[in-house]
Amino acid sequence: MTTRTSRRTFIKMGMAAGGALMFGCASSGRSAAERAELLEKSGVFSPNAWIKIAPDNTITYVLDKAEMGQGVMTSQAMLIAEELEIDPTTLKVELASADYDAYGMQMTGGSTTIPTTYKPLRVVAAAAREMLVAAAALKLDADERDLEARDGHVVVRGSSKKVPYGALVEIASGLSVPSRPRLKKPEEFKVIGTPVPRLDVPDKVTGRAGFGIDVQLEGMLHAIFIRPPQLDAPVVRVDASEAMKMKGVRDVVPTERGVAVVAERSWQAKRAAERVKVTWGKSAFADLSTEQWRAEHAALLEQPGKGAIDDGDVDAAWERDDLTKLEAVYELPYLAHATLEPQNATAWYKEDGTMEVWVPTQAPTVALDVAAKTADLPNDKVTIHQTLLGGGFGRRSYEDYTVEAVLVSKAVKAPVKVVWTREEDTKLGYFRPSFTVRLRGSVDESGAPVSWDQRIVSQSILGQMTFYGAILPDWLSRGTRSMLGDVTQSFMQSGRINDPTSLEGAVDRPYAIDNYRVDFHAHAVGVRVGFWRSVGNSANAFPVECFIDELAHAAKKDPYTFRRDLLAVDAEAHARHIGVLDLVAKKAGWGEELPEGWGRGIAQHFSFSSYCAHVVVVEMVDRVPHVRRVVSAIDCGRIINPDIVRAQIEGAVIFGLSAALHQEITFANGAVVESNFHDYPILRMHESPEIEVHLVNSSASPTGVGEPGLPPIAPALANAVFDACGKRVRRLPMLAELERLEA
Amino acid sequence: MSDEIVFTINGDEVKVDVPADVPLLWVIREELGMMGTKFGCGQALCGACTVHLNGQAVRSCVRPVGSVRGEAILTIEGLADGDQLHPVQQAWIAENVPQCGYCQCGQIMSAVALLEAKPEPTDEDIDAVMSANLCRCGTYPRIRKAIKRAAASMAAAKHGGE
Repeated sequence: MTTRTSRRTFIKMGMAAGGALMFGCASSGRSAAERAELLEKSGVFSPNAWIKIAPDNTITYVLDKAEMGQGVMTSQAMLIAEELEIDPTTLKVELASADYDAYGMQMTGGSTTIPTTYKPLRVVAAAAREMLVAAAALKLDADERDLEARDGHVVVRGSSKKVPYGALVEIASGLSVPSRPRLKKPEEFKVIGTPVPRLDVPDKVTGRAGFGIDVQLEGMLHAIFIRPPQLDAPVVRVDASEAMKMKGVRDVVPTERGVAVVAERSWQAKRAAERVKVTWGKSAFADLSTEQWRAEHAALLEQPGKGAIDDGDVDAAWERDDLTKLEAVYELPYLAHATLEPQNATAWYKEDGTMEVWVPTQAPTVALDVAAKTADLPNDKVTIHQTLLGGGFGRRSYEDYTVEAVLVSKAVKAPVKVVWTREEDTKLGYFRPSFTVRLRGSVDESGAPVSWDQRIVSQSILGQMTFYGAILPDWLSRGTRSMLGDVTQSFMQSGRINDPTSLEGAVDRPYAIDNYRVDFHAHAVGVRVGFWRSVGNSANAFPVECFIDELAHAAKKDPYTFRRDLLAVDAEAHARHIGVLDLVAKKAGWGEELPEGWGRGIAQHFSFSSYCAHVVVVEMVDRVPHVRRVVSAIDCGRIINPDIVRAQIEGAVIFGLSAALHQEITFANGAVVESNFHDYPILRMHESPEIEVHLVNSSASPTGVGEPGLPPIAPALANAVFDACGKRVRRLPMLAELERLEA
Repeated sequence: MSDEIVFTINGDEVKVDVPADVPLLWVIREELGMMGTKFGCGQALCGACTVHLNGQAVRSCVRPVGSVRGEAILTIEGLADGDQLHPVQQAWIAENVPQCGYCQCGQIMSAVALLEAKPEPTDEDIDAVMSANLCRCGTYPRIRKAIKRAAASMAAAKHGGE
């Protein structure tokens, strides 16, 4: 099997981060030879890399996206089922292994699955449908125009004569794949737009669903790591003499990521790890502390950064005497992903020079490249098996756990499963970077905003990425890929080009304010940072939607109408922002009286091509905010599965409230302080509000929902707290900050 | 010296030869190969490891296996009656509760114990018991609805209704 991505595919590839991800070149379908081979070897009709039809009518589709809870297994099945004229709940699903040829660069993230597959996946299914109809025409000696596909059969119109797809497998396999099949028009949809029950749910309620952590192999060993007390301190010396005598222990392997203790059972590895003596070297991060980076951010705020927007004359406005001026500094912490399934991978480096890896990953082809490079094997000797993911949120694109499993398996020449403890999972993050944002704004006597001056300090994510080499296509030599990767990384890190992920959500300018400036400092700390659900938007929406609220109050205007009026200056460009804003205001009863100590806050944000707004209702109890109700609106264009969209917004609300109220990753003496759910909490049932999600009915192109629900929730909450008790919380997490404000 | 520990799991007697202080969770997963019970935190903070010990919901990640000698354990794999899913599992399906699904076996085991103790749970009852189970994906509103749905269907079944 070759793993070369064609040059044509590369040209279709955008950069992984934030952009639309390319869709593989396989929409042209399988060659005649491939189809014949599959028919002979497996007895199936498989016109492309996604669909397999067996003679017994079992239809399988291959999911080349990571199912991490966002529902792609079901939405992709629906797209295929629509054009293939079958019941989506009857589809069998296979999880695709890493396969550049078939699926291009496989990566799931950026809320891109629906927008990038909506048409292409329907094309592959429609092509299969047309081949089946053509096959039936041959089989029945009928005219294709008298036939149609319906319910897994090809039927002769106006008669009861029908042929199941399974009976057409051989004939269809011999036909050529149409390159431009007819797609259904939306008015013909029977499946798309309906709340099809999720295909993965039955296994998830019976314990049958297989996550990465559940992989079991004959002769598999377990590896537990001993980690340095300070970030990245190297191993200097290991004394494993006692550990090696313990029951079940196979080996103790020093690596650049700590010392792996390998045993037949994980509890044996854990006990043995307690008896290993490790001498650590000096950490490059020995002085790292939260106080240190906060001080550095504060200093950078005093200097102009790299400009992103500079319209009108912000400085002149700031000098005027006739305006009401405001200044606010917003601070957001580093955040960990806290997927409930801890990071893990299982690798089997075999004696014959091949390797298999089982890993819950958002990026199988990155995992392939990383695993092959780590094992020093050619890509075509390595197989990456995909599993279900117990949460991803961006964390499962980084493959550091894959590196560990491969290193250890190669060292011990046996299958090895690496499972991180919760403590490791919390501390070994690719964290959402911290952001410090200073806003200066002004409003005139009539309450119209005159200037907006925004300075952002944050660690560049793209400047941090160490896997540029892996996401470039493999027809580039390894050396070239490595060099291009390093160049891109250094450009981002040095601030020579602005990191778009640091600015996303900060440069959209939905509100019509003439004097407008945004500049940015890429603060290099070196802590591993990465994509955390909604990426730059997760932080940037907070200062924007809080400060617009502060300006509204300074202008003595209602925060909802103040926003609406500014959006409406260009009503056409902002119709969809206004749409979600109006919808939540209406459904939340904006303006209606609330009891004493209660407050409402509103926020809207555009991200990943979708529009979302929230109204949060809080009750202050003993000066602690309790979120009682959240009313949300989402506009993601044409909706594939309304129940899944609802679930994603509900989930994003809770994810976002967890961060806004409780979460921060702090550093002291060169180490992450937090370790488990007692000090890095997730919202619990008793804190969970009533959530009401309203879906905008739209026929616009479908866009994603994995992330768009998240950015506006923190500012809506902060605005609600202000409404309830008059306190502006500008630093998250909120509960810690409220305590500070009390003291 | 062999240290065999004998207990019942999902109605079957098992014998395991591990030190008595090994947490039950790892015995279930690695000695018995049953993967439905999950590891999330190892400190009884997340509830993903929830099983029933003589009908009570317990966190198996901190329960030493020696302490369950002679006792009866129920895991998610033992909840259904053959092909017939437990009403809680059926309610979870009807409400499309799971997203990633990793926490859900623990959620279901906690919910089953809740309903056995309180067949008509109030929101406060649900809060009190289910706050022990974390869900990173944020399915709490649906869990609440599913518990109420299961309560209703279990009550109806009890009274001989549909």
